[in-house]
Amino acid sequence: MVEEIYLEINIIKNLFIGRYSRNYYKRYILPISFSIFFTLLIISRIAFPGFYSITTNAISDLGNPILNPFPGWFFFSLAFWSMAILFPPLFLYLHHRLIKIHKIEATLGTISNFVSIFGMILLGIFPNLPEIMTIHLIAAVLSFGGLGLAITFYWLAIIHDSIQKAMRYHHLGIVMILVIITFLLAAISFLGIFEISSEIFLIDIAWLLNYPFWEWVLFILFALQLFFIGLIIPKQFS
Amino acid sequence: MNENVDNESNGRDGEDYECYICHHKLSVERAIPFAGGIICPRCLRKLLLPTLLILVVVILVIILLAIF
Repeated sequence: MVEEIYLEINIIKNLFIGRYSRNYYKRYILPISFSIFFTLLIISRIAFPGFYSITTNAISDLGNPILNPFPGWFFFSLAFWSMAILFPPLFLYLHHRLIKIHKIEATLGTISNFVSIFGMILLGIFPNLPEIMTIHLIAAVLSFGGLGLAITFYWLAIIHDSIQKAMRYHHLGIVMILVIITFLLAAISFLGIFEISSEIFLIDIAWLLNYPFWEWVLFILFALQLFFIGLIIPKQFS
Repeated sequence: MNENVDNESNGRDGEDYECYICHHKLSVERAIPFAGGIICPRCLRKLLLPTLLILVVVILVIILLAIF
């Protein structure tokens, strides 16, 4: 009996620290995590009274108790708090794989992910109310900035050797594709985080669309990247 | 550098690697390390082009929304 409990605790511990197979990632961990998070967010959106547009309404408007009264804001907070439990198994799985390829990039990516989780928990605690807007925006920058950096570092770990080898053997098409993807990813992340940051100091430097739109762009792009990186990593390393 | 490349190319007789997607045998020149595995240039292009396309579409949508 004690052994069985110990075994189950061990299985849960291994899942939480990302020690599981690629099939598990693909079939269970990724779909379950995404489903729980997006279901909570969608419930919060359904509860939102009135019109909601991604170009004018920030993600955080769903967590604003004035704009989205109970239970709407509560589901938003639950969605972001749930990331503290749902997200580590995802990125620690990537970390265990990528650290075998490039230690520095993988470690920097994982540190950035922990910063991002801290930001997400703060986002759930501090809604975008005028009195606490600064701390809310700092939380947004931590969560989006952390996630953006993490995905960029993970991506660099993946393509580090590919670029070297493709350049050495003159696979110019591949070099170009890899460089362009890396540039576009970094450009979108940097521009988005810059636009969101500009709101913190109330400086009118936002020159391309409002920060609510950038929040949504980064949010969707990072989720897609996480999905993509997890899927392209092979079952076994060569 | 060139000497190393030559040694590497001549030292193996062509087909030492296998692409982790299509499982074809690959020569040193065509074996590209990617995400911890070995992949052929063709599969790598097939894998990355949709990503590139998605990113370009995202950028176009952003530009269009910014203009109108």
